[in-house]
Amino acid sequence: MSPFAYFATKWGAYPNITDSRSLITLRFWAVGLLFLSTAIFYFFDLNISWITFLILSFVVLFYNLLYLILVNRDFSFPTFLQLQVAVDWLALFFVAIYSGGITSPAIYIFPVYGAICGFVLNRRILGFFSTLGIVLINSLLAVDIFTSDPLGYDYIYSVGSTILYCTVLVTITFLSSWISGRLRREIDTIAKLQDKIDRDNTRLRKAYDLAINMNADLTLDGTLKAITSTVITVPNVTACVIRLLNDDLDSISIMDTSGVSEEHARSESVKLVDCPIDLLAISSREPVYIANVLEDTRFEYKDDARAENLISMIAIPLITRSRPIGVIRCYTGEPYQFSDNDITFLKTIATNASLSISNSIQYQSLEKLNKTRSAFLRLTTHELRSPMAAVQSILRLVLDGFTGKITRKQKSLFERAYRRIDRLLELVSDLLELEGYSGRELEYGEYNLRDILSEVVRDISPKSDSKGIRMRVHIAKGDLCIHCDYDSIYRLLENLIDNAVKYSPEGGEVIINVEEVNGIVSIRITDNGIGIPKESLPHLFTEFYRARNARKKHVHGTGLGLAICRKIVHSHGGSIVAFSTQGKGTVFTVELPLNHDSPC
Amino acid sequence: MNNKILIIDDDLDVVEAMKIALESVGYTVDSAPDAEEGLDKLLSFAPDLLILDVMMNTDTEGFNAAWEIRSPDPNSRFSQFKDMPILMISAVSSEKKMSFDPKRDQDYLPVNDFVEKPISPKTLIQKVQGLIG
Repeated sequence: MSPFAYFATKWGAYPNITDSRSLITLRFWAVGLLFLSTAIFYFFDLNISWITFLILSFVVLFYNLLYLILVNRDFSFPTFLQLQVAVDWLALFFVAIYSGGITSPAIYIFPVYGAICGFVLNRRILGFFSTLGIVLINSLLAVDIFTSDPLGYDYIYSVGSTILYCTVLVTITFLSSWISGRLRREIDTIAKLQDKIDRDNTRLRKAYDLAINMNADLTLDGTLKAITSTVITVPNVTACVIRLLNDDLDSISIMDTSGVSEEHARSESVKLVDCPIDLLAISSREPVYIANVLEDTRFEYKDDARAENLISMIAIPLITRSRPIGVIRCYTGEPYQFSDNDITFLKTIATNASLSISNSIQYQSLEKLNKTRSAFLRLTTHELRSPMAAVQSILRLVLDGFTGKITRKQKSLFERAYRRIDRLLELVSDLLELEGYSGRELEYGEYNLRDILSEVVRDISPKSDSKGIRMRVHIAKGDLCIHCDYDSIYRLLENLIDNAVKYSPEGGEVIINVEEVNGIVSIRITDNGIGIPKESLPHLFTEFYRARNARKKHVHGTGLGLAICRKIVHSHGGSIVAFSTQGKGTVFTVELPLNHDSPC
Repeated sequence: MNNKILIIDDDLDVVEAMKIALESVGYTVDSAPDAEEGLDKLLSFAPDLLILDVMMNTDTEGFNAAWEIRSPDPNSRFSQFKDMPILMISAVSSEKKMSFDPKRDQDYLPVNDFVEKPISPKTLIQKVQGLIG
């Protein structure tokens, strides 16, 4: 650090300059100089008493050590600095007397010290010390005149020097005072700017926090809490209340608060006409600023406001899709606290908050709808399945001969009827699954693809064995962990492998290849079955679509299996594609992201 | 062999189908459409085996009835039926992909066996005979 920067920093801390330990340390330079002068007077014959100077040096050393001890013990009093200066000047006076009186070069130190005083002392004290300096310099002159031989004494030179010294002292002292005043004002301005920058910075950080927090939770309560709890951390804001319009649009209710008592937070829903401030904010769509609620006639609950220490207030309308949804009120404990900047900033926050609130309201209603839908689907499934099961039970009773003998023709027809109901139940299940209702909650976890695949292959092998189809599985070494719902992935693989077996000729071959490339696992299922016509490939994953040749073969299928597969793959962040040559066979490739981070 | 069987099921068609099947092999069968009536009938009819549906007025009505019958309370009004086999019928396992194992799940499913809907009369008779001969 350069000496200049060092001083600048020290003096920047102006109010505590008297306690500055380093400033005291600097004094020992002066002590050192005095001892050096003593040495010079000892070695060179300059007609100055070196013993006097030695004594003076020790006196100065002694009182400076005293200062150091005082400062080190954190001892200080209001006039400590003034005392220091006074003692210094007295010391300086004696140094000048014993080093040549009015002609001593030590007198030059007076203006230099005056300059320093200009920086550390205020104007009034400075006036006193300038006067003291002038008195001391004139005393030197007086001493000089009284102790000198009146004959041959150059009065003009001595008096002239004295006037010059005094003028220089006064000029330099006040000049330095003026400069330091300017500097101090600059420092004040910079400090104010710094403060403003800090506040703006805090605001920006709050806005950023808020943007993250208020979208982190999709529930309405969570969003509101995130908003109010972040808003009260904004500088100047001590309390925040969100009031939302009720469905009737005529009344308003407190939905969430931060920084007010629970009692205040529990207030009942009120008619909008009884809240002139909210009404004004909502109808004008502009913030309403009340500098002092205690003096404003529009504010009715003054006792409450006083008790809760809510003195100045901004009510900002919450507007989404150009429709007001409520008001966010920001309070602070002092009157006239909010600046234009505060209002602009809070308005920005309110804009973002409105969007988050309306998103969470919509999310909540969607969730409610989804629950209703799930309940409806559940009911439908049960209500559809029960009669079907009853019909099947009855048919089975007849088919198994419990109601007497039936003809072969009757038996064949009843069996057809039974099978059709089976298909119908299958279709219901598939439709429900495609609609995202499988009758159970999805349970995501870390599973090894190897385990799921082995289970599927084991479950399908009786069917493939009966058709004389060979299933060959090539699977990459190591763990293949995927973050998935076990049953969904089971269903996906079962569907695809079952299709491959279903559409393969007797004695055919189904090859399942599992590889890992760059964190993605690729599952390839190849068959040498009937293949898929070229024109059908683009529609393969569409609901109810069945390729012409598949329909012709009278192979049973609901036309929903591949649509379900696609849905499962997409919900797991993967992809599925099909390649086929009609008459030769088909390859389905599923790619799923692997999870290397957690073990399965 | 004149063993008595009580069926508690709200689907009267299914009850009828089961009745025909079971009566054809000589069992005496009575039925009730819900758990409340069924439990009353249990006391008056005193069957040797109970066939119990799971989902009736509520999703778990059948389970609750089974728990009540198997209550460990010595003063339970069903204490005499503690050892009576219960055959539970349901579509639950196919709908919810739950697999029950009456032996493994004895503690929380106090029933002796399951039969799934749609009911195959042959399987039903087999299971009933397996439980009460």
